[in-house]
Parts: sequence; C-alpha cells; structure tokens
Amino acid sequence: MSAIVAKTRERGGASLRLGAALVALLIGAAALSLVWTPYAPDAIDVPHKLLQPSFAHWLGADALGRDVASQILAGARVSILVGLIAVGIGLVFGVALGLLAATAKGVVEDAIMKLCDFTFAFPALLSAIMLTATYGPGVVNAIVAIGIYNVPIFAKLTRATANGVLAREFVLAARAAGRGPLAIAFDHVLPNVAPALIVQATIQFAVAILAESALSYLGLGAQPPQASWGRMLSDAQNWMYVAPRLAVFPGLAVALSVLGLNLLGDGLRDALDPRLRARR
Amino acid sequence: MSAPLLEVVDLVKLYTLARPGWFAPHPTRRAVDGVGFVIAAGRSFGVVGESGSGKSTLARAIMALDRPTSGAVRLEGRSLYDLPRKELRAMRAHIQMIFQDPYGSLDPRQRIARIVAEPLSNLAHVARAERSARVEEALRAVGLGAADALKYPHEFSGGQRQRIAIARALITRPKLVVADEPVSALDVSVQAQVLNLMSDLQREAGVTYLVISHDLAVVGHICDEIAVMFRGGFVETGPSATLLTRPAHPYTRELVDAAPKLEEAPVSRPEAPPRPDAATGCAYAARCLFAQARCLGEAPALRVLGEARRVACHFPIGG
Amino acid sequence: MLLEIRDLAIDLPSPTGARRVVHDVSFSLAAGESLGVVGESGSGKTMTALALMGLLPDGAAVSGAMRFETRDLAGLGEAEMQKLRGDRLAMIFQEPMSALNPLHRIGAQVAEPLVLHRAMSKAAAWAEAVRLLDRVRLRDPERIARAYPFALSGGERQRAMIAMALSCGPKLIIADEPTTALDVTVQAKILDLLASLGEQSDMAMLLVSHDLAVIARHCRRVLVMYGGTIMESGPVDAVLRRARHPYTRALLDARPRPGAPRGERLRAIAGAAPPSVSAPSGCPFAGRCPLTLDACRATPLPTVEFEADHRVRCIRIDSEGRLA
Repeated sequence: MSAIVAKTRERGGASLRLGAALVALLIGAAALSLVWTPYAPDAIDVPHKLLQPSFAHWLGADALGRDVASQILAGARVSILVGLIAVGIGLVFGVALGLLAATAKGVVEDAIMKLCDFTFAFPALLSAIMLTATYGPGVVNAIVAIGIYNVPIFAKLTRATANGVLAREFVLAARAAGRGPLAIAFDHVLPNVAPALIVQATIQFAVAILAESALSYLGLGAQPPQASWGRMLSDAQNWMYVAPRLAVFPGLAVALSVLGLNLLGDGLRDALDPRLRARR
Repeated sequence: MSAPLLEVVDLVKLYTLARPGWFAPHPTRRAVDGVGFVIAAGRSFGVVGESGSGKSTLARAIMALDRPTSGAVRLEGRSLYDLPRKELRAMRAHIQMIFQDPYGSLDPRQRIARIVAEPLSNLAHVARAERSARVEEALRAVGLGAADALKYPHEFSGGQRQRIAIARALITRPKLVVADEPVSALDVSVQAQVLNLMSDLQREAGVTYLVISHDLAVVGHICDEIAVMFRGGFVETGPSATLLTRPAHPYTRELVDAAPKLEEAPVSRPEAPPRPDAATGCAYAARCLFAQARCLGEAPALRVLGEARRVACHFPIGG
Repeated sequence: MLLEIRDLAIDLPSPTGARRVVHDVSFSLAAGESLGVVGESGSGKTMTALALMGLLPDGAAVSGAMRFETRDLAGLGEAEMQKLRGDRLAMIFQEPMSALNPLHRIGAQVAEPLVLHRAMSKAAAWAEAVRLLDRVRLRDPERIARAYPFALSGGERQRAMIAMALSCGPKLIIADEPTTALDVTVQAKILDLLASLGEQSDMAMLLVSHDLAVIARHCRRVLVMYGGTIMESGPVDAVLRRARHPYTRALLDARPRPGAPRGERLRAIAGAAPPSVSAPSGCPFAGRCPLTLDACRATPLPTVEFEADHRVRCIRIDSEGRLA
C-alpha cells in the first residue's frame, strides 16, 4: 500500500509545482500592479487605439487606447480580491455551520443541511446576477453574491469530513479525558478537516474568478474605469474581427489562473492526504 | 471496610433498531442486559467475550462515554451518572482508558506532548510548568524518553504508540484504567512488551485495570478475576486461574477449548445440533452441547458457585 | 512438486528508491500439502503470498523463480495470470467484508469464477454456487446465496469467500490471515473446514498467519519469516516443539500462557521488527537477537539442515544443533 502512496505523491508533486508557479504569477501580477504598471490602466489615449503589440505597448492597446498589459495586471487585483473575499466568506460561515451540524447532530444538523440544499437549488450564477441586478452592480456586490454560494459548499464539506473525524478513536479518547464538544471541535476536528478545506478553497477560488469574469462581462461586476478581465472580454466583443487579441489576452489570463488554482488544488490533495493515512 | 473501587449495578443498554415496516414496533437489542460486578482496589478485573457480547458497550458505559438505559456505575462510592457535568469531568481524572487501535487513538496532527497532556486539562490545579514535568514522567514510566514528546504519532511503531496511549491514560494518576483490547492490534513480540509494561505498572504504581478482551491468555495474564460475557450478560465470573483451568460454564469451556494452544493436541469439538434461537431461556442454549429442556424454557440467573465464583447455568460443569 | 519457489526477491517502490521487502526466499509445496507461513509485520509473508497470485502493488519488481505446476508465474503477463486466478490458484483474504462486493448477492459472487473459467451459464453457476455454500457448511445455503454480504456474520462471510475460492477446484489455495478478523470460536471451525476440504479434494494450502498456534494446529510444515526472509522451516512438530532459531524460540516464549501465575513477566523481544531489509547481506534479526555477534550483520545467512527437512538459517547454530 505504501508503495502506491509514494507513487501518488510523486505525481502530485508535478501538479503542485506547476500550480504553485501559476498562482505565484497571478499574485505577483496583482502585487506588481499596486506599485507599477507600464501605463495607468484607465489612461484613455484614443489617437493610439487598437495598436499592435510593440515595445511601447507590450500587449497592444484597446479600442480606447488603453494599454492592454496594464489592464491585465490591474485586473489580476480584482480577480484575487474577489477570490479571497468570496472564499473567505464561504470558509468563515461555511465551516462554522458545518462544525455546528456535525457536533450538534439531530435537528440542528438537519436544519443546516436543508438550508444548504435550499441554496443549492438556485443556479449560482443566475442568483448572483439577480443579486447584483437588484442591489446594483459593482465589485463588492459581486463578491458577496459569489461568497454566499460558497457557504453551503464549505458547510457540507466540513460536516461530512467532520463526521468522519468524530468517529475516530482519538476523539473518543478526548472525551474520556474530559474535553467538551467545543474544545474537541477546535483542537481535534478542525486541524483534521483542514486539508480537505484547503483543497476545496483553491477550487472555489478558481470558480470565483470565473464567476467574476462572467459578471463583469455582463456589466454587473467591476465597473469602468476599474480594470477587470471580464470587462475586457466584454469590450473585446465588438472588435473580434479586427483585433481578436483583445479577447485572447484576458481570456488567457483567466484560463491560466483557473488552471493554476486547479493544479494547486490537485497537488495539495495528493500532498496532504496520504500523509495523514501514512502509517507503518 | 472501604468502598470498592468500582461498582457496577444492573447495567442495561438497549439500542432501538429500524423497524421492519411502518406499522411494526421498533425492535430493541439488549447490548448489555443487567450486568453487575465489583472491582476492589488492587484486584484487576477482566471481561472476556466475542463480537456481539456487549463488552465494548459495557466499557463505554463504565467510562461514562455512552449513557446506559438504566443501572448505576459507582466509582469510589460516587454514582457517575448522578453527578453534575462539572463534577463528572473532575471524576474523569480517576478513571482513564486505553483504546484498542494504536493507529486511531492518537490524533495524527498533534505532537506527543499535547496528546499525553490532554487529560490534564481537567485538573485545574496543574500549572503549566508542572504539565511538562508530568508528561516527561509519564513517558519515562512507559519506557519512552523526553525527546519523544516533540514527535508526531506517525514516527512511532504500533507498540510505541500503545505505550504513548498508556502514558496518556496514566498521567492523571487514575485509580482505575479501563483497557479495551490493549494488545490485539500488536505483533506477538510487541504484545509481550506491552503486557510486561502493564504488569509492571500494576506492581509499581498500584494501577488497577479493567481489561476488556477476546483473548483469554491476555486477560489471564493481567487480571485477578475474570467475567465471561455472552450476548449482553455475564455467564461466569471467578478468579482467573480457576476459571481458565476449571471452567464451570459451557461457553467458557468452549472459549478455552477454541483458543489455539501449542502445548496440547487440538480438542475437536462436535457441532451442537441446530436449535432455533429462543426468545426465552438461556441465550447460549442454541449452541450448548449440554442443553436440556429446562435450558430452553428458563433463563438461568447468575448465582454463586462457591469460592467467589458465579455461574449462570442450570447444569454447570463439575456440579 | 506443485509449487517451487527459488530465490524469490520482491522490491517495492518508495520515495527513497526501491525497498527490498522479501529476499532469498525458497521453498516448495507438494500437492495436497498444507504449509504455514508465520511472521510478524514486516516479515514479508503477505508480500510473498501476493507475489504468487500476481497481485503485488504497481511498480513492484519480482525476481527469482515461482514454478507452479509447469509454468513460472514470475514470467506470466496479467492476462495469463487472470486465467489462472480463481481457476488453478485461489486466495482468501483477511477481511471478508472488504473482499466481498457489498453490492452483489453472495450467490452471484460465488458463481463468478465458474462463469469466467468454466463458461457456465448464470443459472447453472448459481445452482453450483448453492451447492458450494452447502459444502462450506452454511445453513440454509439458498437463503445465503440470495443475501447481500452485509446481512451475514463475519464467519458466514468468510465461509462464502472460501466457497468462492473453491468453486473451480483450484490446486492451491492461499489463505492470508483468514481468521484473524473472526471470533476465536468461529476461527477454529473455519480452519477445520479448510483442512477437511483440502483433504477431500487434494488441494494444497498455503496458510499465512501471525499466530503460531493456528499454524501448529492446521499445517504440516511451517516457514518462519522475519525481516523479509526465512529464518526456520520444517515440519510443524519439529519447528515448534524443537525450535532451533533464536527468533522462533523468542516468538514461542513471548506468548502469555493461560494458567500461568498472574503478573509473570513474559520474555519479550526488545525493539521492533524492521519495516524492510535493513541488512542486505546479514541477518535481519541481528541486534534484537540475544545471540547477536558483529559477524551477524555482515555474513550472508547459511542454511543448516537437520533431520526431516528441518532447516535453520543462523550462523550461530552448527550442524549438530549446538551454539557456534
């Protein structure tokens, strides 16, 4: 058995490294944009519109003369912000609900799970659209809308994994030692549930980026002059035959970020889980 | 005459099962059916039984991990189930447990020091500084070193992990240690090490054990008195040596015969004629080689058979 | 000889390179004979059994010869092994619950090898399955055949697994700790069943166990394995009652004896078994062995033979059985 585990870890290593590299690139781009971009992302320069990539504009300029490269870098900021906060909301509320469900059991567990099922019944993206359309477009509302959908995902995952942990003998040992349910939840359940949560978080991060792009594309997310990959894609529609690169670059940015996060998640799953089960 | 260390009185644990149909009543399973016994300080007690005997359920009820349906468990005269929550927590310092699975009973994400010190959180009067001293003391008592406190469980072998579990059980200096299959998951050579450790602790630290096991030899090695459990009830109790060499109940005899031994030639057992499991009468009658009409109709009570022995049988072996 | 193993070595992949878990293993098994393999964790006994069946994990490397009937199992590809498995060679595992598919009825699972290897129709195979369940002394075999694994007790499931293993009348049955997960009263019955079935159909049995007493009761010959290789082998009587290897003796001494005075110290073996071969040339028991010398770690293990095929591998035992 341990032989198979060892091999899996080797394969997982490649995903982990590539994923980590791509995610580092994403974070690096966002961080860089805080201090420097080749041009101001919202600097309109109509005389220089639709320029091909050159020394002056590395990735070209869009229909309003704005530098594409600068917008990509600044757009990374929005993507990361959305990912972090949406996943953050999901983790904080979802894990709490999941732990509560697993520890309290009975009616409480049923109620929480039904609430999650209820939320799942609504198609996520449509509901996000509804929410932003009702409360007004903007990055903040987009984040909240996406974040709400992460809560039942993490709640269900936490509860299922927590149930598995609660059945283990060391939890019984903790009870025999006089620890109460709260102490057990924090000291024993949470650390053992964490690997599954970390992996899911990377996946949800990628989903958040995609969702934000979709919302921005529809005009409901980041508003101009704020740079966002989704908005860039929306603007690029009109120029598809003249300058398809205006859609390719932001599209690539989204694709690489999502790929990186998914690979990171895969790699982490392989790296974290077997160690827990690694025995003799 | 001092109060016994542990007193179990008429313990019953029922489980309700899924009902076969919407209008049928819920069937119940009597996992523990009116068990009572007494453990005196210094005299270790063993409960032997196979799967389905209810011994693990009994252990959990005694440890106050699973509330029984009825009955009482008294530790040094105080009834555990009548205590308010805070006091029950404090009592846990006096009764600790060693679990069967050395790979599951230690949290893989915690260091040994934290694992072994966990029961101490119950005792408000143990200061931080004293905690690490106690951890070291406990680890040394089981043959491990202070350096081991910083490691993680996966760095140890099965036998060593069981020692860590014993260290954890001993850290509050409990009066009674309940050991649920303490050596079943270990290799033979390691079993001997752990059994030796347990005997040593008995002698040197005055620990009293309640050992739950399916293995007669293990129980016989540590315990002064043994109870044999079958389908939720005790069928025989008595001093170890006598019970193992001159069993009075046919089931005890079956267990003793079935245990593979090197020294003797195998005892070939004829199959008991198939008999339906009766709702009344002796629970063992369906398998018993000596069952008679009375056994099918009337369940025998656990009665005294002389020299601290009790048997639940209408026709015990040897009179 | 039904089975002849020569110089078997098994390497498993690990993060630190290939790990040799079995080395230098040679033994033979005649038709109808029962051979016990006894050892603790890390002894390599399960890996040896899996190697015979071709069920080693991915990436495992086997060297040496494993002749079964007329072919060398080591050289056979997966397709060839699949034809043999269930038909000429069968295996029974330790955990009957995980070895049986919980989603299929018992009858279907017992019938499966028949459909596969004997090309029987499902109906004919089912009828034969019921007959087999009866042969393994299950009461009401028709009901059992229709039932799913969760409805059966541990002992019943193990009997069902035996029925499945026997269905095509294999010449060799490998049982890996078949009774460890069962109650002691059921253990005895299952092992007696295996023994009698073996006699009835001239089937050889390789019984792998950590329990010496189980082997003593049900096998004619025994191999004692430690750290991936054989320490002692021979007729059960000789090996267990006149054990010569220090490891075998230590193993025998370490068991608590029922009826012994309470608290009597057991003769434990200090330390723990190595997870894989740590001494590629010397004796894996060196260090834990009370007779260890420096030479033990460097000298390759010899084979000293005594009467009736009783062999011991230790540099400190000479041919007269005296300490060298």
